Amino acid sequence: MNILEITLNPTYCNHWPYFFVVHNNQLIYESEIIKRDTIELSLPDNATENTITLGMKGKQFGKQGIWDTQVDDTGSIIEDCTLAVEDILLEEVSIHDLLIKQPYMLDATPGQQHMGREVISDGTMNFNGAFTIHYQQPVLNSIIDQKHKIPLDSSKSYFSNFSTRFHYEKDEAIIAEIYEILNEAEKLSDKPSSSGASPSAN
Amino acid sequence: MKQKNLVISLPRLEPHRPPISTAIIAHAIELSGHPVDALDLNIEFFHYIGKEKYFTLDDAWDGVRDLTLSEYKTIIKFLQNYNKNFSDANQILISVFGSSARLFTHILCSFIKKHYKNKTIVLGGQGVIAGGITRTWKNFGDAMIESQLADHYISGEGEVAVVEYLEQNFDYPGINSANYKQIDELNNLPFPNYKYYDLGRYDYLDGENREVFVTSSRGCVRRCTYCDVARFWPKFRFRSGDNVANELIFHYENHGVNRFYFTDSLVNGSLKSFRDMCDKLAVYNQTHKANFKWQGQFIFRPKNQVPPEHFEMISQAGGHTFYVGVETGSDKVRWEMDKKFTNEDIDYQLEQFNKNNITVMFLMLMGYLTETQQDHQDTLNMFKRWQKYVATGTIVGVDLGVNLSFLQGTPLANMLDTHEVYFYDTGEQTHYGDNFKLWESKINPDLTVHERIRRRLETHEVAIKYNWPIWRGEQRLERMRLIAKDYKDYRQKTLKSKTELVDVNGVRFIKVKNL
Repeated sequence: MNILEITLNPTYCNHWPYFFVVHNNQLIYESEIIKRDTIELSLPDNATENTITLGMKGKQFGKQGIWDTQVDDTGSIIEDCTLAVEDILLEEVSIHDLLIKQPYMLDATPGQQHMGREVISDGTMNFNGAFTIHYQQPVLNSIIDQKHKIPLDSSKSYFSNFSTRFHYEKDEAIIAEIYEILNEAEKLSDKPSSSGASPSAN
Repeated sequence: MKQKNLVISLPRLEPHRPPISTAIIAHAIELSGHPVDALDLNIEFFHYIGKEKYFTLDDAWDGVRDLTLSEYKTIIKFLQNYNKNFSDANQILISVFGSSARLFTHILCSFIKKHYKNKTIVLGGQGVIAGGITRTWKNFGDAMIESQLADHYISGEGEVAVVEYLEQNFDYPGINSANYKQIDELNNLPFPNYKYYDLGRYDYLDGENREVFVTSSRGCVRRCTYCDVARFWPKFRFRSGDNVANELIFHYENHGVNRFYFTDSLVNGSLKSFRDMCDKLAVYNQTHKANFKWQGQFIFRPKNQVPPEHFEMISQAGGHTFYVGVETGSDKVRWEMDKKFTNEDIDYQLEQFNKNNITVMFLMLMGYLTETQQDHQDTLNMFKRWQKYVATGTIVGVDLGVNLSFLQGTPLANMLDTHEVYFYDTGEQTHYGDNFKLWESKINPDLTVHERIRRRLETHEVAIKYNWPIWRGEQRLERMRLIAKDYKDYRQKTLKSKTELVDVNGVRFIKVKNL
């Protein structure tokens, strides 16, 4: 199982926001969030490709004359039903930066169609909708690639060229060649080395 | 009339910061009242041939391949642009940063001696004497004088020796000798002065933020068994924290520099000095919005010596990336190396680094003299244990190294007898160079050359499996390939031959028996 921890901070207007989490098309959590809280969920780790969708629903935008946002005479919001994702950890690693790179997909009411389907959010959900993030197993490998792998750049000295990290095709090719040299060396003596044959000979 | 001095830096140095050694030496010469100019041929060559071509020469500087004729002609053509600089100087002082600067030094000295008969060439820097255990040991400096390509060399710390040299006190320790004198009081030395360079010409790593080198200490508080720092700097000396902080502030206020790279063996060798420096920098950083960021080599300490506030202070002072000699995943081996910290200490420090946005590069050393299969397994386990910190961005690199060498003047070199170490006699023609990587110990017979190479490869594979940020991986593996080739050649040479152990100047070699 993979552990997902989500720290949420709600604001109230008429009611508290409803939060839901869907993992690989299975609804795994749904609840009203009534205070700042951290939710811990266990996610099955048996699928290679995975999707987490988390979002807010139930906010009313005028249906039957109910608005879950209250403004004063000047138009300033005085009460609003919102939910902020303050942090989200997968296997103890924050993926908040990955989350907010994704567009927040609106579940728009007819009156919100002008906003389009996608909005940019810093993690605060002001409308009904959801973030979706994808990852693969092994999960930490996938997070590492998504957070830290950058395209190769050959314009730096190799001492300081950090773009080569996580690009290991050449490394793997050289390793295979060295194993081959070791295997050839092994055949060159009547005195076998104590470690025996190397992997590529097996 | 005083002689005109020209201080030269040359490839290979990184083009990402101005050179500190010549910034120090030129300033010392100037303060002693002698005329001096400085020329960074490294950065000029970088611009002359362009970024991409510049980096294709790395293999040549490292001795992995020869220069092509075309590359050689390019260098000569480049040097002709500086005829006036060479012509105007009476004495030319060349900084040989390390072994990777020797080839260019050789070419430059040949060029100057050929075209300017009356110039005195003086070599300095670690590259004039550094090296490994060899049967035919000779300093680069001595070799260059013997071949009449240089006139003098200065080993060790140059600030005082170069002035003594200019005063013609050739008996001063370190002049034409490897026996130099350490400088005891570093606080009295002038700061390196970067005014000799056009700081706009460097290829800084962090965009427009300028970075320079700083040295806050010389030598090391530790005596790690494999390390030869104590050979060059037997005594650990350090500047006061206040003095070091003042230097950073000086470079910031005079040149707008706010990125710093410490050259120290350990930036936190003296905890008191380090804390004092951080305290002052943290205050300055806050009051002047200087946005300092600095990096350097660092040692993990037992966790009871460094409370959480210590790491908060480092972060506030601008401490950003630290290179730590973790070496192995085995507590037993790390203890035998005299490193004096455990995996539990690493757990604690990684968590503190993570909380304070400080990043770390692991420096590793595979195949230690006493390493067992279990120790190797402990190293492999490390990659899973700390993978979380790779994902958080705390561990930003791991250098898996090239395997253990026995360097002159190290505690390890003194263990050759007790551990019954012997080397394969590979002869003069090797792929790797003067090859002391092919060794075995009768006390640890399972760690054959073959097994050591295999463990190194397996470690690389496991690091890839856990998606660690391997740093210089390809270059390190290329060196491993050369070692493997030497090993194969040795097996070929000794095929169906009888071998014997032979003592050569106290070092045992296994070689083909003469019948």
